[in-house]
Amino acid sequence: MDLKPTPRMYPSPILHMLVAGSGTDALLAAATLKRAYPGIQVTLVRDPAAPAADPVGESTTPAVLQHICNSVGLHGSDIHLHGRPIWTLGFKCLWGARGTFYRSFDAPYSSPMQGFTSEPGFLAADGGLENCTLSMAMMAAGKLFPKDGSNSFKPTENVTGLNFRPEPLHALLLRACQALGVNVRNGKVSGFTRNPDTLVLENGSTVTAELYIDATGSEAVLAGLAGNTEWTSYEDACLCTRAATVARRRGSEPIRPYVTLETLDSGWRWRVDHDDAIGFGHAWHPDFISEDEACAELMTKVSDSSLVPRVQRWNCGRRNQAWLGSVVAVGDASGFVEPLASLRLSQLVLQLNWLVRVLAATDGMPGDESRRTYSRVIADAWDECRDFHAIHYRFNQAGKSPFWEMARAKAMPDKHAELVDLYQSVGPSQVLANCLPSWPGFVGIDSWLAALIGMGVPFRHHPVIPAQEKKAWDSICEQRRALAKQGVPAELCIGAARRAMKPEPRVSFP
Amino acid sequence: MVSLPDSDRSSSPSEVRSVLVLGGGSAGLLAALTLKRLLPSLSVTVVHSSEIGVIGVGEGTTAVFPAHLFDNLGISKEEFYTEAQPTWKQGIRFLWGPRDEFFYDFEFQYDQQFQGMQKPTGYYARMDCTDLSQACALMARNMAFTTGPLGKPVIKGQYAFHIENHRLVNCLESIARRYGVAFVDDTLDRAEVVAGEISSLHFKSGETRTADLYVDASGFRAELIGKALEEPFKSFSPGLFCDRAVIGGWHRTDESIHPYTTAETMDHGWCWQIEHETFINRGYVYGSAFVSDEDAQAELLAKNPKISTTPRIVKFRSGRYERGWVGNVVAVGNASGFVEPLEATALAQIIYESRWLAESLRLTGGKPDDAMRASYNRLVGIAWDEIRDFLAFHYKFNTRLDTPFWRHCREHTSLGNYEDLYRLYRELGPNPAMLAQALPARPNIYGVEGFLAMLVGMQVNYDHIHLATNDELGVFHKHRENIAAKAKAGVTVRQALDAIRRPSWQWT
Repeated sequence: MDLKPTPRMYPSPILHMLVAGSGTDALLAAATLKRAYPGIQVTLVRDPAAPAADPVGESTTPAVLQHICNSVGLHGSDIHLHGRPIWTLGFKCLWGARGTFYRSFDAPYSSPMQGFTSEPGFLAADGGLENCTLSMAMMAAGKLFPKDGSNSFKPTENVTGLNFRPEPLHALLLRACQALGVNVRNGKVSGFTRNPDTLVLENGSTVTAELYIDATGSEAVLAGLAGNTEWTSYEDACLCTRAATVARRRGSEPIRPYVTLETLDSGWRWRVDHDDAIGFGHAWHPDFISEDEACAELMTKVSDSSLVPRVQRWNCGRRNQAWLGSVVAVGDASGFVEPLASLRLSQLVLQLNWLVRVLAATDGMPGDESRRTYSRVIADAWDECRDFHAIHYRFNQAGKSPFWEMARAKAMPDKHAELVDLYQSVGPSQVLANCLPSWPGFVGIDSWLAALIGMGVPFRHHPVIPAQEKKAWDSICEQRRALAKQGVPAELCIGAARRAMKPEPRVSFP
Repeated sequence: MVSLPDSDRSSSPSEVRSVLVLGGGSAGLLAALTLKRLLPSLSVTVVHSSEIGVIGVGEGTTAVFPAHLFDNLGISKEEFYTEAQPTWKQGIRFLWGPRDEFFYDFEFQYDQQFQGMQKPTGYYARMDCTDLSQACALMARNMAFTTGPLGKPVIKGQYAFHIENHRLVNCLESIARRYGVAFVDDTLDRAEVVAGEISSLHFKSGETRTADLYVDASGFRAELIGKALEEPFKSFSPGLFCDRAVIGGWHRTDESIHPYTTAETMDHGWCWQIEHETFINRGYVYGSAFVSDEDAQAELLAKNPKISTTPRIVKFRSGRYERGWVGNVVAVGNASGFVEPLEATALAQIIYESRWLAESLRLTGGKPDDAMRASYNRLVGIAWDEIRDFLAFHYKFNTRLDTPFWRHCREHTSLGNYEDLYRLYRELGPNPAMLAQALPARPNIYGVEGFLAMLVGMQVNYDHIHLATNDELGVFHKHRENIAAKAKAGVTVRQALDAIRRPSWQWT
């Protein structure tokens, strides 16, 4: 009898997934995969000796909150009581030709407005930005949520991101992993051997799985050991390669319902608010300021001299193939850009969702082409991110220093050059969505338009806005302004929400 | 307003107020009508030549055509149906690949997942691919539309037309005149070019005409874009091997009017059948490298003994001009590019070009600049290349006949920009959500649906076969039976034509 193997190799089904890493990337990956595939064994290998996460924390976009609720299955009360995040409506940017603008998560510049022939982008661009969405009006007024009745507020969570500090977020996600049945074990990855692909831990033990998820952050330990090192650099678009961060305790000052991005001579500064702390970061280009000077500049924002800034070196770019063989690099291991748009966790969420989709589409047996497709989707998302950051350098007229002159000349959008060129011709029209190479895109047309409008990038063709539409728009803006003035500040919303929440976990905690 | 130093390097363009459309065929008329209706302040003149004939083949459209005419341009249905006398088609019947037949429609067969099913429909359609959409169920039963209240046909949804060319041209011309398009009968003598733009057109009558923008709708002659401006032509020959058609037809006697265009595999190419109300038009598209004109004609006549007109031969070259919009010239229709009518794409492509032209003028307030032209050219270019690659799939995977022509097609057809899509299909099967990620460019017109209709229709193999349980198949067939039941109670093209001609008929 002929027992020769069939010439075509069929991929073997995935029965065991191993997630390596100690930070948010690994915890979120393990929880998401286990919830999506309860029948598949998921092991999380954490290094107990890994350096603690940066206490400065990070901001996110609405996609992350939606993911944690829908795909991890955490109830809002768990998120708020254990993760202790605060809501953010978007960004205050001391940036661009306007000097200052707000960019919110509720900027529907690409959808037509009922009763208007003019597109909202043009109304906003010509009429001033402060009140052109409710969130922008709220930010401008320093409020978080609109009032609802005399003693209540309306939590418009569909258009808010969350600011997380790492310790409570990790504690929340770790408990979710445990509740979902992720096998959590300690260990430090030290090797990767083939035939079959096997992970070797520092203590000499080995683990095999059909799929390895490298969530070890920028080090990308697993991808490196598996030989997946090809990298596309974004050094020509993300121009700051150094950063220093520091978090200080919050005093009595109000919580800002947004992330602040501020143009500095040698780069830029960000501020992320938390309930009892405030994180600051300073990103710079080493040719234009020394590390000591940059740290000193950052420390002027912090009155506490006992705090020491943490210095980071950024290598912005992406792995050419996020998924190669049995190893998928996710989160920082797959790529990194500066935190100019708070998209880090959204990227991770996109990757995890696609991983789940590919596994579903292939019934847990992803072949080479499916992996290649996954890698292409993720690479496209990173490249869109790259270009989105590039325009923040290219069009920042607020920077008057030699660094910014260099930045404006050097940073160029690549795959989105047509979108930016056409914007400079026809302005913020929804037609520009046709120029997104991977429509609907990861950043998405609304955010592109919001950034281009916000930075005051000029365009040559201004459609005539009928007088009555201008009037109607102004009156809508005025209503928003009045609503925002009545809005509820962040401290009150957060305090009230946490008090009101009864712990009713959808995933029951042990 | 904030101000930045204006980055505009090009000289400030003057406003387009007048448009001269060169050519009075369906391309010129649709372009003129679209521009005039969407931008009424434009002065639009069509210069057509009674000396130069039109190709005048019967036309099949896609569903884009009625949507554009009635919804975008607001043309009256009464008038159009009276003047153009179209019949309806719900898609194309392919006599192609190993199945006896399969249907391509303008709805969704494979980019959908029936409720309660684990997988998209394509995974269950390996053996039987009928009744996946209402349109296909109708076509399979020779029905044009479902039946609505009072037994009236429901003329809605993604239907398209068969129209005789001379009726279409006359109808569009009279509508265009009424909306204020000017018409002149004259023949181009020569075009004067200054610095890469047309400065004026000299005509045989002695007249010289100028305009702010010239629409080249001169067909294969491509008088302006090709001859005058010498824009390079990009041949599609690596993917498409046919270059001639022999055309004939006969007057309908007792044949029923099919609600589809037929595309039938022939020894050295393929043959269309277009259903007019009183006439049946057939055209055999072939590769002249594989068969002589005489032999092609003989094959056409042998397979269609009723042909009564003298067969005539049309030569063509498939390809497109590198850019459709150069300086002050925009080419539409055959002047911008050509592919054989295998998917009835010609009128849809004219509409696509005309709409983007009108949109470009609107967006720039009549002052299109280099950025706008570059976008237009990319959009139209990828639309042409998509059609090229879409047709390539038809040739690459048609295993029906084992002739030198078809062997050559299967071996040598390049899938162009859609190679990745095929490779993913080969592994994964008809999964539209995943395949959408392998599409090479956006916007994409035919979508995953078009490609899947051909791949599943031609039973192209893939690795990841889904073994459905009997329960699953039961649910699947239940859905199809519901679709089929509605189709069985449908009305034929003949009945629908009679219905709309009754005095009591009202278009909604």
